[in-house]
Amino acid sequence: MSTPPDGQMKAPTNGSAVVQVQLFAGMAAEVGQRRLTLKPATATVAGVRSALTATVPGIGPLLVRSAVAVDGKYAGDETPVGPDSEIAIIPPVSGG
Amino acid sequence: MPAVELTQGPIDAAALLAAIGSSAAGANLLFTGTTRESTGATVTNWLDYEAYEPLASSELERLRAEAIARFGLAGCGIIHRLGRVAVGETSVAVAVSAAHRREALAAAEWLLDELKRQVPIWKREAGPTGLNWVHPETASRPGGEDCR
Repeated sequence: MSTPPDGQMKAPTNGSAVVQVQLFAGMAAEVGQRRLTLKPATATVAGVRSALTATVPGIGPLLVRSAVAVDGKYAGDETPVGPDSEIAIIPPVSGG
Repeated sequence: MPAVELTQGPIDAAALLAAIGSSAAGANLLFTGTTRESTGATVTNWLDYEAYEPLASSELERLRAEAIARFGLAGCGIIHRLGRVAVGETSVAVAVSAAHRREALAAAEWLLDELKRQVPIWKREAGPTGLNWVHPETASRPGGEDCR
């Protein structure tokens, strides 16, 4: 890992990040909570999905149909996440 | 009145239509979606709506801007209600104005289709069988194919 000019080491991109996720609607009802703390093995949206599945058995069928938003935008599986990220799980929507 | 709004209170649809009026428009259209008392054999007593509000607001803004560009609208406003919506009350109002009716009608339909696909708002139906969140089985993931 290279050292940035300010001398601070970059945070590791995998292994130890603790993240908070927000849950909504049927997913919040199934889990019984609106927020969960997860420790994904990989600090990406894909890692969050894996950690959520491991933490909440049975969430898989709804999770695979859900999108993930990071910092207010829909995000793909490779999007990085960290302790300061606002992460929201977006199950299939039913507005209107 | 903001062009896009999420509100806990009743929707004043007539005020929304008045707010998007324009001297450039010859066609003015107001759609309201209301809580229906039954869907097939299923009775609905009321609906509860919730949203991931930061993203719901920005998605509604994005859809409004895209509709204006795509259909050449003179005006466009969208309001979605959150919380409990009784039978007969309005949960969503979409108002568009355009030079001619075809653009206005097409824009309203497009906006409602996209709202139901992309905007993180959910309804919970209350009926004789209890409370059930609606997560359509056939829906594509919100956010588009690039999120798969």
